[in-house]
Amino acid sequence: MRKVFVAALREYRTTALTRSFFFGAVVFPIAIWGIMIAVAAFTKGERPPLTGSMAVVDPTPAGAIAEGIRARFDPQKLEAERQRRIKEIDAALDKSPVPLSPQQREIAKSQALAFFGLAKAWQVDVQTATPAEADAWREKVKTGAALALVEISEASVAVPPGAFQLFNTRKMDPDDLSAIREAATRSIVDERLRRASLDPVRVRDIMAAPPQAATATLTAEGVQKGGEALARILPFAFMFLLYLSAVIGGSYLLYSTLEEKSNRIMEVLLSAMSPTQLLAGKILGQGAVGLTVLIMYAGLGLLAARHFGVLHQIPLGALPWMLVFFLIAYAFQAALTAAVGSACAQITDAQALYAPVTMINILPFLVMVPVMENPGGLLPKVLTLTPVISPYVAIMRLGQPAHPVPLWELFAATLVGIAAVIAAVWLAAKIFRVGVLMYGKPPSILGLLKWASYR
Amino acid sequence: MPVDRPKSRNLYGYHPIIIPARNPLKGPRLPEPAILIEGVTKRFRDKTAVDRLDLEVPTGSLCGFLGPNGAGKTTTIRMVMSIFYPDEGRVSVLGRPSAIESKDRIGYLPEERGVYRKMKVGDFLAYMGQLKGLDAHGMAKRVDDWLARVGLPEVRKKKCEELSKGMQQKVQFVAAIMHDPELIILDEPFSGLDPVNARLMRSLMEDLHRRGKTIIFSTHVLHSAEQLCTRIFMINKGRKVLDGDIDQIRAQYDPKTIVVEPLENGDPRQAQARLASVPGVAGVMHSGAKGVYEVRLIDGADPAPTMAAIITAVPSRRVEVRRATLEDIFVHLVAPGDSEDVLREMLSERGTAAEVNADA
Repeated sequence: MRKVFVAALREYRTTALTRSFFFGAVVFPIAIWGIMIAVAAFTKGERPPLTGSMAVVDPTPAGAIAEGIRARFDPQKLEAERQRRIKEIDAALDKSPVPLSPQQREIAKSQALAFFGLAKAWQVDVQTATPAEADAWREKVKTGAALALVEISEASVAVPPGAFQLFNTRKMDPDDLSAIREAATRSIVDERLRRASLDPVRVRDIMAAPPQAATATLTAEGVQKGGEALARILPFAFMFLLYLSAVIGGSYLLYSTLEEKSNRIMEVLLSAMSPTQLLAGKILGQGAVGLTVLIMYAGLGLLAARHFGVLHQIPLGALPWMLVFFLIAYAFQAALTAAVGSACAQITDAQALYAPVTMINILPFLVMVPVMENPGGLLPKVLTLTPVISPYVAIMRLGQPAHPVPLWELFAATLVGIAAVIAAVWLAAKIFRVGVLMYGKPPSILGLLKWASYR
Repeated sequence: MPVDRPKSRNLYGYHPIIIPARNPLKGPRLPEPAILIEGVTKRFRDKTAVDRLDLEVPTGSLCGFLGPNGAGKTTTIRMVMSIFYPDEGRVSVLGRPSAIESKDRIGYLPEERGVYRKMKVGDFLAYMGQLKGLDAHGMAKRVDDWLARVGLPEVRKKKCEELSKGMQQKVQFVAAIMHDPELIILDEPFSGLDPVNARLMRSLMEDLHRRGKTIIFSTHVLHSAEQLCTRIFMINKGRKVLDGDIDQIRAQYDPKTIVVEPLENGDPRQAQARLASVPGVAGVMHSGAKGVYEVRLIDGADPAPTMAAIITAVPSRRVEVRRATLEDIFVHLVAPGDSEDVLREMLSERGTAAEVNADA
């Protein structure tokens, strides 16, 4: 056992106590976050205005629908609308419960303007055309002389409606196209309102400002601020944290095994310890690396939750289970990874053999949506007891306090997980024992399984 | 495919020479052998790497383990080290049925040897020492002492990748023996060493032997084996073909050839005819050097009277019994076709090259 710990300590020291780990696990994620903010900040700038002409074939005698579309793209009206929205957005941002930096305000504002379709200026000449002129306009659109042609018939205004036609050039930006479509749709709806003797402007104002709910959570400690956003992402966050730490630990194990193979040091090590001891030491050492990642990220998450006053929304009782399921998920991942690593001396060889492990790693993401949508349903219950995937599903369900997981299910998931780990480690130990001394062409997956049958 | 050589080319005969390690007629019984291999067979798919091998390494001996590439040396050593397990037969190491139980008493320098390239030399040696059961306390001094002994006093803080291949090899050697093992197994310890370092390695091995360690090493450097060994084993195609004390092996081979250099450089045919007529002579041929002949004796002939008769028949500047070198013995026990290359070719046609690497 002493040798296992000596090997584990070396694995941990040479992985976690290095500059590359610090950059990979700490600096890199922070840098990514910074880059995302920077990219968002750079993209907030206004795009060049859209210029050109388009035509609307309008069935109404007064051309009210075409007028509605024209008004939508009227530069002056657009600018007025824009200023009005900016005021509204500013007012909303002032009321934010979370203090915002100037950059964050700018990003939020530009995203809100984009949402209202006001991020871009339009200098489009909207003309009204008769059905007879439609052919000529189609030709213009075809040659690129005009941007678009909207052909609306009386049937489009009826309820239930018939479709209206929107012809455009191939060069048109999808955002612009959807702006034209929305403008046409809104203008047709306005016409329907007018026919029902309602004032479209009034109706829109009523509909545009739905009442806001101030969500609060009643707890033993009193009324706590809270919302659905965190509750919605929590199961995913739990699962992703588990996945990330297990996969990071596993990938370091792959690299360290490949390094030992390519440096031809395996036999030197095997003169001092058995392959099983070496495998155990490696799994243990890199498990400690994965645990470091888990504790680091989970700790940062909890600190952030505390900072924003939403710590009460996190079911802290799930954290010990997180540890249990991490150990299971990691050990399974590590066993497979070590088996693959032992068979290869080059990362390029390992990639082909690693494909099945990658496929297994995708499983939690495939079942994520059904589990999150109906955590108490039959499928999540079955998946909780399905080997390989059980830790991920169990932790996702624990991330939804609204649907408590019966304790027996958690224990059963643990037992199923441990059984899967024992099977994987047994198989991996057999492959590892043969693989570490094999050089030359790496085997196929079937060949790898065959190694397990060697005496 | 192995080449069948005509019998006439074989100066020494084909039969394996096996001399028992424990001669019951000679002195008291030796202690328990350090390594005892009994009837061991190891197969990889349809290739038999080691075939019913019996081997005994006496405690305190310094043994050379010879054989052509692919003969099964490394497979045998790996079975001794419990890295592989025999399909049949029994291996006992330091009195235990498996090396796993006595790994800390064994020093092993494998043929496939490497270092952690990014690790510092001192850390690497300390790690290997700890794996071999050494206490962390006093490790730094032990590392320093050993590095000084192999002529690398300044490298402790260097990364392994900064060392030359020869220096790395010396570090690997230190890693194998720094825990003061009783049994030392070295697989090709001289490969990759320049003459100066090879000499250093030899002197270290002699020193360890003097201190009572049992050493077994495989090598192709027959000259070193000849200088160092008290005992030789040779295997070919997984089977033992030679086993005995080096002096006894020489005695078996030596008296069969006498080198003659006549005083007068007369007609070679006449000299050859005269030599051939001497009683006890089986055949005469040119040695390669001008005016020098190799006289092969018939089996069982006593060289002394034959030498006297040769001097009488052909007055000579030099008449001497030729000492067989290990190289002669090696070359004549191993047919050219027995080399690993031929086996590799055969196997790679069946797509099992990886296995050849592993069992070579």
